[in-house]
Order: sequence, then structure tokens, then C-alpha cells
Amino acid sequence: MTPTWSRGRTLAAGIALIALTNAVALGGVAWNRSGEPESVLKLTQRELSRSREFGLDREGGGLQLYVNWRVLSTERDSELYWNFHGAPEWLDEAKLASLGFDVSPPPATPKASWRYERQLPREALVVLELDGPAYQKALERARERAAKQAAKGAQTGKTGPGTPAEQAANFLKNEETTNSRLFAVDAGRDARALRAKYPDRTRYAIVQGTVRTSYQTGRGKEARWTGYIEGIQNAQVNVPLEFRKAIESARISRRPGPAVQGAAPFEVTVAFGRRFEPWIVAASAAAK
Amino acid sequence: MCAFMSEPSRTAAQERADEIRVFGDELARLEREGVVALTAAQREAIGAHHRGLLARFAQDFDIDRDARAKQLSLGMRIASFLGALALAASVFFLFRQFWDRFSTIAQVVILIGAALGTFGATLWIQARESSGYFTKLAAMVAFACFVINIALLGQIFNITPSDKALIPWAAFALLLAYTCDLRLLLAAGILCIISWISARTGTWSGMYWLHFGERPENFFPAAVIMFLVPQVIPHGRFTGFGPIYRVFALLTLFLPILVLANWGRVSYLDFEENTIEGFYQVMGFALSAGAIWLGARRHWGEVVNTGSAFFVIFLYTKFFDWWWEIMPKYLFFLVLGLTAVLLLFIMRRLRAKGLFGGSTR
Repeated sequence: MTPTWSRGRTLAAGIALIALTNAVALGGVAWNRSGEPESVLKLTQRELSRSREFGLDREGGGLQLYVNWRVLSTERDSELYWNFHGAPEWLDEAKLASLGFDVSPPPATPKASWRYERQLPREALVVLELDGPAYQKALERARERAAKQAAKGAQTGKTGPGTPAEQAANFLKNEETTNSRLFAVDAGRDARALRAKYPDRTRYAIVQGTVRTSYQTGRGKEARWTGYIEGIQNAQVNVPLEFRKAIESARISRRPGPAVQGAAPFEVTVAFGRRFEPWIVAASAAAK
Repeated sequence: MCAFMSEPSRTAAQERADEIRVFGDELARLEREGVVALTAAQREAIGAHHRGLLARFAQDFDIDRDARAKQLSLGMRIASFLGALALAASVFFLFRQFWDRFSTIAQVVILIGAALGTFGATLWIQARESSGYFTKLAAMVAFACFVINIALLGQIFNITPSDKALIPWAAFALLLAYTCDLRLLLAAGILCIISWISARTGTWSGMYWLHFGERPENFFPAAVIMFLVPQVIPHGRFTGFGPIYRVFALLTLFLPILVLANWGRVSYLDFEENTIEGFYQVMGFALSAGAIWLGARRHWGEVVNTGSAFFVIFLYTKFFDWWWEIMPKYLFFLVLGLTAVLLLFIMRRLRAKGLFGGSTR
């Protein structure tokens, strides 16, 4: 076949393109990891699970850990896992407006519902809090709910398996021992302002995420704008070969959300860099 | 890139060889019918010139010299395409299968080495093969390796997903496409560019880039740019490249319009849903009719065909909206059939008036 362009030039252009692209990608990684990490969190089996595996993934592809973050939902009685990612209390109209969403129409008008449906997710910096006030509040709620259901059960005599009283007691047990203690507690667009508000770098990590608007009404509640965190970027963290042994020796939950009872304890130190991208700096199987 | 190129491509050589064969058949027929009578010297001169050309094309491009060879060649092209896809998938799963056995440094070296190695192998094969089938296979594998290279770097180092990765992927696909005259890689490059432009367009409204597909209007700027590329950059040297740009441009235009004509709520426009749908239905008819007209004027067969196909789709979609519920099914399909007959009459009339005359290269 007759060459259409000098083969030497093509070769040079291709090599330059591959080299430059890899250099930019790896340079970004180096910059992210340079200097003091933006934050360093010590996560355990409660906050980490194996990333979801579907069909073909069973062939291999390396080990990745899914960061089980959650929110303190406005639904106070929520105990189901999907409510862990519901509308956070702090994501109100003012916060949504500060993130760039248009919440100008009064929330009770049809125009507002049309508008919230049409607004697509926006990027935001999300603050994750590890074992802090949000977790304590969740624990308190679970205790209150368990006590309430136990009192109700005592009155009605329904306290056996499958009853609300038993479910609430189980949920409290999970909340105390296995549920994730990592909560999304704030969001913003200015990393410095967020860091000034949450200065403890071992408890608060700033990560990139996406926020979406929502709309709450019905059942006698006042109509209002709300929102939810659609996702956290890099919620799956790659486990390098040197840390695999420590992590694989532990029995890790294979589903995101609450860790399974009996999951072996382990601790993974995750650092977040200048670009808020995470990486594992240490991992150990904790003593049982 | 085109400015550096002067040699004909395999496709152009094949087209010329086909024309020579048709010319020979027609000349023989004219001579039999007594319309023209070449002298022995003229016939020999033409024959020698054509034999020389065909020999050179056969040597340089491994062209099909007759209809049977052409049929075989089609089978080889299909096999080559499927093989390219299978090999690319094979490379991907090879990486996955053994990935967790390597340290991070080894993984990076393997990824970069695979991209460089397969690219070099593609050029090596291209230098030794005249047909282009194996070059296409190798080029597809090289492209897959480069895509995997960047995607897995992102996974290894937890890099935030970015639409910027589409730029080097597009550049690499286009480099291979123009160097090796591969339309499949051209299509891959065009898709990357369309995705990147659409994602950038989406971010102007503040949305996160991965959601650009949820607002079909994001695709319109990419459609316009892709349509203009073969007008601004001459592609005479690359047979079939111009039509690929135009077909992808029209698909990028008409598919979003089709979505918006039926689901107005996904539009950027701040009007009632019915108003938006009506607007895009009118746009669909007007632009597909315009594409037919433009394609006929400029002798772009692919533009005429794509415009016609979408005009019929828009029409049938409206028929479905209006009549599916209220008409008996036999009547509904009768109306569709009669509409097709009516369109045929209109097209035939336009053709008779010379609007569709000329070649459609």
C-alpha cells in the first residue's frame, strides 16, 4: 500500500500523541499527590465495600473499594439503605441557589415543578464527615426510633421477629456497629471557604460530586425546593498491589451500603490531594 | 493533513479500475453497434495505458480486477471489520484478566507499551500489505489499546472522569484513519469529536458534562461543525470520507430533533411542552426537506438518502400520533403505503425535471 503521508511523520505524530497524553494524565496525578494531602481519612470496613460486580467483572480487573457515603435525610424515620442517599437536611433553597440552581419560582407553582425537573446536575464540592456530629445525630435518631417502637410493641404485644419493634432494634444495632459513619454534610463551590468552615483534615474530606434539584410536597408538608447528592466522583478507590493482601485477607462486604454483620475489621487510610482525587496510603487488617 | 498527500487511495484506485472496466465494455458495445471505430493504434494505446494503470493499482493497492473479486472483497471487508472488533475486545479482556497481578508501575508501563507497540505494528503492517484488510485490524487494535491506556490510567489513579480524554482519542483515530485510509477509524474519530463538542456545549448551561445527552440540543453545534468539515478541508484524495462526515452530521442533527419532536420536556426551550414538540416537528420536516434539496443540488447521494429517510420517519411519526388510536389498523397501514407511493411520484417528477441529475459521488 502506498503511504499517504510520510511514514516517519506519522510515526512521530503517533508517538508524540501517546506520550503527551500519558504525560498530561500522569503529571496531573503527580500534582494531585504533591505536597501535604488536602485531607486524610482512616476508613474501615464500615465505610468501604468491594465495588459492585456485574457479570464480566468477575474475570478480574483489579480490586476497587467503594466508599459508602451517606446523608442525614430529611425523612427522620428512614432506615432503608436507599434513604441513606435521600435529600439532606442542609441542602435547602439557599444552598441550591449558592450552587447555581434556579430556585426563583415559588415551589408550589406548576412552573417550579417543570423547572426542577429540567435542571440537570451541577458539579459541586461536597464535604464528607467521618464519625462526627452527623453520625451521632443518626445514632440518636435510631435510638429514639427503637425506644418508640419498643414502647409501642410493649403496648400492643407485637415484639417478635418481623415486627416494627424488632426492625428498629436491628437498625439501631447496625447503626452502632456496621453502618457507615461517613456523611455528606455540606457542599459548595469554593474549596477554601469549605476548608475554613471544616478545618479538621482528618475528619472532613472535600471531594468532587454532583448535586441535583428535587421538590418536596404532599402529605400535609409545605412545598419546598430540595436537592440530593447524585454522586461523588471517585467513589471507587483503586487498591494497588502492595495493599491488596491486607485488604483481601479481610472479609469485605460485596454490596455498598451497610456493612454485613461479621465483616472482618480492617482500616484503610485514604488521602485526598490537590484535585480532591483519592488514593490509598496505608491498609491493614485490624486485630479481631 | 490532506496537504501532505498526493498519492491516490485504495478506494480511489478501485473506483478508477471499475471505470476502466465499464469503459471497456461500453466501447466494445459502441463498436459493435457501429457508432465509433477506433484504429488499431488508438485501441492499443488506450489498452496499454489502462493495463499499465491496472497493473500499478494491483501492485500498490491489491484492487479487485473483476466483479467476482469484488464480491470476495466485500466478504473480506466484513470479516476484517468483525475481526477488528473481536481483537479489540480481546485486548480489553486480556488486560482485565491479568491486571491485578501487576504493580502500579508495571501497569503503567504495560499500558503505554501496548499503545505504542500496536501503533508501531500498524504502520509496519501497512508498509507490507497492499490490501488494507490487516492494516484495518491492526489499526482498530491500536485504537482500542490507546483508549484502554487512558481509561485504565484513570482507574488506577482515581482520576476524575473528564470529557477531555475524547480529544486525544479523536486525534489518534483520525491519525490512523487518514494515514491508513480507514473509514471505520474516521467514524470512531468523528464520534469522539461529536461527543466532546456536545459535552462542552452542555457545560455552558452549568450541567455536569456526563449529562450532555439529556439535552438533545447540545448536539446541534457538533452537527453543524461536522457538516462543514469536508467543505472547509478538501477531501478529494480520500474517497468516501466526505460522505461519512456528512452522514454523521445529519444523524447528529436529525436524531436529537426526532427526540425533541416527541419529548419536548427535555429541551432547553422554556415553553409549553406541546409548543416545543410542534416547533421541532416543523424543524424536522423543513430540515430533512432542505437536506434532500441540498443533496440533490450538490450531488451528495448520502445527504439525499439520509434526508429522505428522516423525512419519512418524521411523517410516519406524525401519522402515528394522529391516527394510530382512531383508525383501524388496516386503514392506518394503507395510509402509510399510499403516502410512500405519493412520495415516489413526487421524487420521480423532481428527477424528471433534472433536480436529481448527475452523479452522487
